[in-house]
Amino acid sequence: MQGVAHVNKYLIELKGIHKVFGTNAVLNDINVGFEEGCFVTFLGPSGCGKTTLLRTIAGFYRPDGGEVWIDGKRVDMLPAHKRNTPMVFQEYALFPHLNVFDNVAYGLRLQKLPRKEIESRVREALDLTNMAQFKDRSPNQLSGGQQQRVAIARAIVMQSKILLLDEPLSNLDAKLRESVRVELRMLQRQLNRTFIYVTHDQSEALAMSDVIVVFNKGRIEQVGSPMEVYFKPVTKFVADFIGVSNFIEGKARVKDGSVMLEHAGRSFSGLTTSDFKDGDHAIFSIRPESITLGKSECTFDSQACLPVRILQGMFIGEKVRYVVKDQVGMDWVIDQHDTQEVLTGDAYISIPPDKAHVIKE
Amino acid sequence: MVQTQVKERKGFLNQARNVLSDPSLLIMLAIAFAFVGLFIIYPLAKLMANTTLETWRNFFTKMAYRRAYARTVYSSLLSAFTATALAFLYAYSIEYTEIKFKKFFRFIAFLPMLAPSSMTGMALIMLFGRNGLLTTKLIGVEVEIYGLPGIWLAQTIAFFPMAFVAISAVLRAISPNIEIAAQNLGAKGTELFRTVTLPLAAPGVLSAFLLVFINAMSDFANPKLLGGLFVTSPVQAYGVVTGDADFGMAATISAMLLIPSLAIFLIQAYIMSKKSYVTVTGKPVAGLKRITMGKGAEIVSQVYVFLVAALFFMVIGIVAFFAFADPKAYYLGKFVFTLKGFTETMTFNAYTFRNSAIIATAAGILASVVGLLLAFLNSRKDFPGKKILDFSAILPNTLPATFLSLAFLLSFQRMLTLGPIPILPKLTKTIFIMIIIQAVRQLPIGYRNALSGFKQIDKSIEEAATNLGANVGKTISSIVLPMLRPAFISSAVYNFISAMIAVSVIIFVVTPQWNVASIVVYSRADSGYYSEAGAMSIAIMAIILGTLWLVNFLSRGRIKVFD
Repeated sequence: MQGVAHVNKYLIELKGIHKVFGTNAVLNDINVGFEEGCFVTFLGPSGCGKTTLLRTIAGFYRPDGGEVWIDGKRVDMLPAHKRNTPMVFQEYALFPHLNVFDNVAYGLRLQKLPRKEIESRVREALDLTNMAQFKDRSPNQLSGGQQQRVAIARAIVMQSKILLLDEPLSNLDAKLRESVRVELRMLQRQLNRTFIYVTHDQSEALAMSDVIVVFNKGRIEQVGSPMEVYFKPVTKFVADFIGVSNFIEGKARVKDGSVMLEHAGRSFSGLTTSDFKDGDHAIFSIRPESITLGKSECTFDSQACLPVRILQGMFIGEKVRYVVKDQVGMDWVIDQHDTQEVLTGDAYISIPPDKAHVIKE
Repeated sequence: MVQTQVKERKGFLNQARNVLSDPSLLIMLAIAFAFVGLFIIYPLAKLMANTTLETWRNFFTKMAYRRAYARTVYSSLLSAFTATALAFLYAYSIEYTEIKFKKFFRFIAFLPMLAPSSMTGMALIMLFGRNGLLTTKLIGVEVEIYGLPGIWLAQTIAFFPMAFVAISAVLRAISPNIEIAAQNLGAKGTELFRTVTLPLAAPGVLSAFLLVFINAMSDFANPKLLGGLFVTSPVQAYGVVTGDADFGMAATISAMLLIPSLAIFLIQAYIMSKKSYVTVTGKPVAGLKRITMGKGAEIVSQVYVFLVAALFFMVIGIVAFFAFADPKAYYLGKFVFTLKGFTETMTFNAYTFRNSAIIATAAGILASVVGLLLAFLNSRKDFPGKKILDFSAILPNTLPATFLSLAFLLSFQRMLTLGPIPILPKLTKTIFIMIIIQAVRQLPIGYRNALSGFKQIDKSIEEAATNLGANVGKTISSIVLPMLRPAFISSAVYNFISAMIAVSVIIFVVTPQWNVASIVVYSRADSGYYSEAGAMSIAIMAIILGTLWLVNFLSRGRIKVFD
C-alpha cells in the first residue's frame, strides 16, 4: 500500500495479544495472521475469547498487550471509528429509525461521499444481498433473515478488504441457517474479501471456512483448514470439540511409521503428525463414521475388532447412530450409513488400520 | 447461547482517569452535578437548617401540630387505601375481562389527572357543600362534606389515575401463560386470583398504595378547600408561613412530612431489589386470552367501570355547570346559563394562562433535557459519584410537594455565594424559580423515561455506528437522539401537563406577577368564587386535552403520553 520495504503476506496480523477482564485472562498470547481473500472462522465454546478477539480487531476493546496490524499498518491504538473494519453484529444492530436504504448508506454518508456515488454503491450492496426491493422498508417491517441481509449489506458497502461477522446466523432458524451459509460463502468468493467469522457451531465452521482458528480458554488450540482440524486435530480439545470422536489413551508403541496402542486386549494402529517414541502417552481419536458395526466377528486380521453390547440405536435420517459398550466398560459412538434396520443386542465393532488419529499430549 | 458477561477494569482511579481524559464528559458531569447539587441537595439541606431545637420541641409538645400530623397520616392512609382498591378493580376489569369500550374507559381513568389538582375538591363543594347543587338545591338535604369525608373522597378521586397507572402496568406485564398454566393445573376463578394474579400484582399494588399515600400526605389544595376544622400539616405549614412568617416551624412540619415518604422510598427500594416477580419483556404473548371470569362477574365489572366513569363525569360536569351558570340566579335557585362569566374570567386572567403556558413548557423541556443528560451519564458512562446522581434524580419523587416548595422559598430568597464568588442570583419572585421548581418536581419522570429509552437501545446499535465510522458526537446526534425522540416528547408533554395543573409544589413560591392558572383555580375556589374557578378549570382541561390531541395528531398516534 505505502510502498513499504518489507512485504507482508498477511492482511491481518495479531501479535502477542493479551486481554484481561478483571482478573480473568480472556486472550492469552494470540499470534496469528490471515491472508487477503480468505474466509477465516474463529471457533470455540462460549467464553473462549473468540468474540473478544473479533472486537479487539474492530477496536471495541484495546488489548492490554500485543499488536494488531491491518494491511501493513498498526491499528491497535486507533479508535474504532477510524479503522474501517465493518462488522455484522449478532443482533444485527440495525438503526430502527432509518429505513433499509438509509441504514446501508449510513457509513458512506459519514464519509461525505457524493450522493450519486452513495446511491449506486447502496444499490449494488442491496442487489448483492437480494434486498433491493425492500429499500424503503423500516427494519421492524422485516423478518429476521431480511434484517440480517441488511446488516450484511451495510457492512459490505464500506468496501473494506475486511468483513467481521459475530455469530450472524445464531438468531436464524435451522433451515435458513444452512442456506445463508452457502450464500455467505459465495458472497465472500465473489467479493474476494477477508471474512472473519465467529461461531460456536463446528458444522458452520467446517462448511464455510478456508481457515479455522480453534479457541479454548483464551488460547488458540489449532489453526488449519477444515480438513486438517477435523482429521488431524493437534489436541484432544480440538478432536472433541469438532465433530464427535471416541478416545482411547495409553502408552504408545511405534512400528513402521504407525503408532500402536493396546485397548481391551486388542492392538490399535493410528497415524500422527507428531513425533512419537515408545512409551509416550498417546490419545487415539477415532471418528464414529470410521467404525463399522456388525453382528459377526471381523474377517480381516488387520482390523482391530471388539465385542460390544449395543446400548442404543437412533435413526437420524441419513444414518443410524449407536452407543455401544465394550468389555472394559468404555462407551463408543458409531455412525452407520446405508442401513435399513437398527441393530440391538450383542455385536462387534471393527476399526480399520490407520483410521485413528493420534494426539500427543 | 449463553453470552458471557465481560467487564473491563473498574475502580475509582480508573473512573477518575476516564473522566479527566474526556473533556465533553467532564462538562456534562459538571452540569449534572451542579443542577442536582443546587436544586435538589441544597434546598433539602437549607430547609433542614432552618429548623431549630425549639421548633422541634414545639412540634412534639404542642397539641395542634401533633394533631394535624396525625390527621394527615390518618386521612392519607384512608385515601391511599380506597384509591388503590378502586383502581385495582378498575384496572382488573379492563385488563382481565371482555367488557365493552375498554379504550374509552382506559382514557376516562386518566381524566382526574388532566384537571387542576384542586378541581376535585371544588367539585365536591359544588355538589355537596352548603349551597351544593345535588344536596341543597336538588334533593334538599344538608350533608357535612367539610372535614375528613370531603378530603377522603376528593383525594380518592384525584389520586385514582396515579394508582391506576401503576396497577395496570403490572397487570399488563403478567404473562397470560402463567395464569393459563395455573388453570391447567386446576386453579379456579377466585383460587387463581388469590394464588397467582394477586401475588404477581402485589409489587404494583404496593407501589400504587405508597405513591398515593405520599402524594396525599403533601396535598395542599384539597385539604385546604375541604378540611374546615380538620387541619392537615401542609395546610398548617402554609398558615404558619403566611400568618406568622415562622419559617422554622413550617420547615419542621414539612420535614416531618418527608420522614414517612423517605422511609417508604428506602424500604421499597430495598424490597424491590430483593424480589421482582414480573419480568417485563415488552413482548406481549400474542393470541392467548385468559378467561378468568363468568358472565355474571363480567356484567358487574362493566357496571363498575361505568359507575366510576359516571363519577368522574359528574365531577367535570358540575364544574362545567358552575362555569356557565349565572351565579346570582343560582343563589336564587334558578338555573340561567350564560357565556358572560366565562369570557370575563378568561379576559381578566389571560395573563395567568400565558404564564402557565410559558412556565409549563419551559419546565417540561428542562425536566426532560436534564433527565436525558442524567440518564445518558447513568446508562452509558462510568464516573465517581454515579450512585449519588441516580439517587438524587429520583429523590424529588419522594419529597412532599409542599416541602419542596418551602425549601425553594428558603433557599433562593437571596443571592447565593460561595465565599466571595456569586454563583446564583436571587430567584424568588422571578419566573425562573417557578420553572426550576416544576422541572425538579418532574425530573424523576424525565429521568426514568430516558433511562428506559436508553435501555431499549442495544449497545450494539451504538457500536454499529462507531464501526461504520461515527465518532461519539456523531453517534449521539445521528443515532441516540433520534431514537429517544418519542420518549423525550412524551415525557416533555407529560411534564407540561403536570406543571399546568400543579398547586402544592408552587404554593410557597408563586407571586402575583408570575401567577399561574392552576393557582387562580385554587385561590378563587378558596374564596368562594366557584364560577370563576370552574371557568378556569374548564379552560385548563381544554388546553391539556388539546395538547394531547395535537401530539397524537402530529405523531400520527405513535407517541403515547399515557402508557
